[in-house]
Order: sequence, then structure tokens, then C-alpha cells
Amino acid sequence: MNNVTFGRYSPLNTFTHKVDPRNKILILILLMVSIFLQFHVWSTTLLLSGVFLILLICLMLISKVNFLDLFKSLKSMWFLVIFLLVIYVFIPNPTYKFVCYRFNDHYAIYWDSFYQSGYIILRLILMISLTMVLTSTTKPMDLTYAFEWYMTPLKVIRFPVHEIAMTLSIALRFIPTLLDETDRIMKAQASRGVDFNRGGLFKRFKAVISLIIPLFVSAIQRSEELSDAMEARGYNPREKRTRYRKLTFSWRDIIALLFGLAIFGGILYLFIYDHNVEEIDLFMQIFGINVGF
Amino acid sequence: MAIEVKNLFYIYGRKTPYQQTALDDVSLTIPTGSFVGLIGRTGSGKSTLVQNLNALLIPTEGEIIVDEFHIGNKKRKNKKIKQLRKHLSLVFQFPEYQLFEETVEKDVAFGLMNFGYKQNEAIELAHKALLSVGLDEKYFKRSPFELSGGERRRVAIAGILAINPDILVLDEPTAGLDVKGSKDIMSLVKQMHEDGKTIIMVTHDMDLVLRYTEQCFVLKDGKVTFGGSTNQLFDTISDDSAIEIPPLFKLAKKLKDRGAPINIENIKNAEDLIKQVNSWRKK
Ligand SMILES: Nc1ncnc2c1ncn2[C@@H]1O[C@H](COP(=O)(O)OP(=O)(O)OP(=O)(O)O)[C@@H](O)[C@H]1O
Ligand SMILES: [Mg+2]
Repeated sequence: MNNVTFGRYSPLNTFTHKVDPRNKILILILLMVSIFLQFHVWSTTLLLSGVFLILLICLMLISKVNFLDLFKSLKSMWFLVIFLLVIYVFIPNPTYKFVCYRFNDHYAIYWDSFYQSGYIILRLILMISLTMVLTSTTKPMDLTYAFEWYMTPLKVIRFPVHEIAMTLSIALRFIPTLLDETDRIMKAQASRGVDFNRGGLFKRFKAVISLIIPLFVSAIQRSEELSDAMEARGYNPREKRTRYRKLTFSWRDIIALLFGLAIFGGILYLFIYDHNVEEIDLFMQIFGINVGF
Repeated sequence: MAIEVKNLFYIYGRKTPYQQTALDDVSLTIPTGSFVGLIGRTGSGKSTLVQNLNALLIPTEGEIIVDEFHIGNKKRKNKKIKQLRKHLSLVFQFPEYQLFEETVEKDVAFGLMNFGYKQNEAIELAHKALLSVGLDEKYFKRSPFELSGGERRRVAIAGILAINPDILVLDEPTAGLDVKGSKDIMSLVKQMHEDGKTIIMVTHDMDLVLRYTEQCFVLKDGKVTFGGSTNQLFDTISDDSAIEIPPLFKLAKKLKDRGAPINIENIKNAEDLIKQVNSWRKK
């Protein structure tokens, strides 16, 4: 169970680790929006995706995020890949142009289907990786502080910002605990002869039940104990609270923010340009070559 | 020899920033039919060691031989793990968290059925095991979740006892139980030992160690710092912070130091000491 390392915070001391979490969230949003802008011509999209991939690799190198973890977590996406491919191939969009194989007048397989689904997968991979960089360089507690900070304006309309942030941070805090618990219960059941990897359908079902029920029971028990403990120490969500560690803005944040803004601005400029000048291939423009079509 | 551990290393979270060496070159042998104590302070690697013994954890390096079974660091090469777990069963630290069936008897029978017993056979054995841990018919049909902590512990232990392994490993079986509960469980374990089973017990209770175990191993930071007869251990160590010499043993030692002809090797409980003192007074 301990192989669930995806996006787990790793206690290092890199540049990315030291950037303010509020800033990191903002930059992440900027980058995600940039990734999601769609361009007219496929070669432009391809070029920009390449740029993003290179950026991502640099970012992961700087943050010392383990590439292996990323591949491991992407491995489980194959189902999604097939699902998307099937949907795109069998439900073609009338705007598709490039025929791959024509069955009859009504039905054909288009190259566009593959391109579209591939593009979606690529964007998903980029987003997952970026989020992973965020979560593995930011303590969960800092993340929730940052969320709380962003939601502060909502306090005006009596939105329970603090309560939600507290719930969130407790939930995040208990993920590793629950994973450990899962591991422990699996071992306890294994010593009673449960085999989680083999056996028929019924056996496996029983094995999963023997894991889930104790897990739920202990999670509910834990939450009761926790709420009692919080009450015993006089916790009151409506009280004004002070913080042990204050979030501060430093020169690193300025550099990181400028970097994020530059990318966002650049992409946005290209996007507007692309949409004003119809049917012009940016790729062609930049390199002065024609890639066909 | 029932168990042979050779140069065993175990590292948690290998190649991650959380890496932690829990067992550091552990070698020990445990003879068939012995009652062995495993002691050491919190975090010294006791639970890790016993989990390696029935292949719940796979050694990072080194090997373990349990009678005809062999556990090495290649996961794929370890065969017959299920048979191993029937041969050497482990009662977990706080086993009460593994209960999940709707009735107590079903939960105890669950393990048996995993090891291939038929349902009615399993239920019958389950009843026997439950009676032996002091839970009578009234408990059979109750839900394990409405029992007290101590009762749940008994159910969980019954679940392992019912499997009737040749080697029984207990990880702090008495932690958090009341005096009677702990006594019941221990006399049960003693009974199993007298029936010829090999017993390995992890505990922090030195009185239990003195009373029941013949041999013990002391772990410190993942290394074995002592292996040998229990009475010899208490005789040789000074008042270390991790191991507290039981008061009874201290008394015996004091008497011996003052010239009383006390045989330290034979002191297991208060009765032993009284017997020796009485026979000495008669002379
Ligand atoms: N799942 C785990 N992941 C990482 N480290 C662990 C894990 N389990 C135990 N450890 C570490 O391994 C070391 C040995 O732990 P272990 O549970 O074997 O100790 P123990 O001797 O049984 O202690 P106790 O008397 O408290 O039960 C400890 O330092 C512990 O922090
Ligand atoms: Mg332990």
C-alpha cells in the first residue's frame, strides 16, 4: 500500500519548496488555463504542447520530483486512454476533415479522432504532473492555509471559510494515517489467510470486505475521538485564531510569479493573435516552413 | 531449529526521503518448542521482525528459514506463503481492529475457512477456540463491534488460536488488558506451549518475560544486543532504562548477594522464590 507515493509531499529544500503556497496555487492556475487554450491549427497546438512538456521537465528537475512516481501514476491511465479513443472514433464530429478509413457514405474513421483524444490525454498528463509538482513541494497544511487565504473574501457573505479549511486540512492530514491503517489491516487479514491478489470473484469480494469494514470502523472511531479531543481543548471555529507559521512573500515569489505571468501572457497573446488571423499556421510563421495541409 | 534468521535487514520506504532502517543485520535462532520473549524499547523493530517471520514483510536483505519454509528477499521466489502462515501464525499488536464479520463466531471461523476448512467444521472449531479464551455461548452470536476492547481482543486471539499453528507469535498480547484478561490469555498461551507449540512473544511487561519465557532476545535500534536465557539476562544487565529488572528477581538477587543459597536460574515467579527460601530456612 505504501507504493501510493503519487504527489506525496517530500521534505526537500528546493526553490519550488520555498515559494509561498498562495503564489504556487496562482501560478498553477495560470499554467492550467494556458494549457487549456485551444488553437485553430494543430501544428501550433503541437508546438505549444512541446514547450509545456519542456517547461514541465525543467520544473520537475528543479523541484526534484521523482519521474518514476509520475510514470507509475500515469500507468493507471490506460483505461481512460482507451475510453477516450473509443468515444472519439465512434462518435465523429462533423467538422473532422482527414479520413483515415471510410466504411461507407455515412461512416468513416477520421485521423482527427486520434489527434483529438491524444491532445486531451496530453493535456491531462500535463495537468496531473503540474498538480503533482504542487502537492509534492507543498505541505498539505500550507496548501489549506493558502486556500483559506483565497477564500477570505467569502467571509463577508457568511460563508464558513474557516470551517471548510479546517475540515480540508484534517482530511489531508489523515490520508497518510488511513493508508497506514489500510496497510496494517491488510497485513492482519493476510495473517488470517486472506489472499488479496488471488482467488475467485467471491473470495476477492470477501477479502475486500474484510478490509473495508475495519477501515470504516476505525475511521469513524478516529473522527469521534478527534472531535472530542478538539472540544476538550476548547476549540471554537468562530473564534479569531492566530497562526504558528506566517506565510510571507519573498524574492523567490516575485521570480516565480513573473515566470508564471510571462508564460500566461505569452500564450494569451498567441491565442488572441491566432483567433484574429484565421487559418494562419503559427508554426509556419515562426519557422517559415509549410507542414502541409 | 524452528526458526533461523540470517543477517536480516529491513528498510521502510526504501529510496524515498522517508527511508528508515528498522532491522539492521539481525541473526538469531529459535529452537522448536521453546517459549521466547522479544523485548526492546518502542521503535526498536520488534513488530517489524515478527512481520518478517510470516512473510507479511519481505526482507530487504538476508533470509529466514521457518522449518521447511524459506523466505528470501525475492518476492516471487517465496512460495507456499499461505501454508507458512498456517504453520506460523501472528497475533497482531491490537488485533481487535481486524474484526469485521457480523457475529463473533463467524469472525473466528473466517480465518479457518481461508485455510480450507468447511463452514460447519470451522464454526465448530471456532466455538472451541472462543470457549478457550473465556467467551461462552452468550457471545457466539453477538456482533464483535458491540463488545468491549478486552473482549474484542479475546475474539481476535481466538481467531488465530483456532488455526492451531505450530508456531504462535504474539505481538504485545496483553497490552491494555486488565489483570484477569492478561492472566487468562497468558495461561492459554502457556497451555499451548505445554502442548508442544513454539511461542514467540513481544512484550514490554518484564514480569511476564520472567514468568513465562525461557529465552529472550533484546532488540535495540534494529540490532540484537542480547540473546540467551531469560534469567541470565536479568542477572547480567544493570538497571538499564529499556529493561527493568522485575522486583521479584531483584529481591532474589539481593538475598543471594547477602549469602542466601538461592539458585537464580530457577526463579520464575513468587512461588519459586518462596520454595527456595523455605527449604533454606529448614536447613
Ligand atoms: N509502516 C512503516 N513505515 C515507515 N517506518 C515504519 C513503519 N513501521 C515502523 N516503522 C519504523 O520502524 C521502526 C521499528 O518499528 P516497529 O514497529 O518494529 O517497532 P516496535 O519495536 O514494534 O515498537 P513498539 O514497541 O512501539 O511496538 C520504528 O522506528 C518505526 O518508526
Ligand atoms: Mg510493535
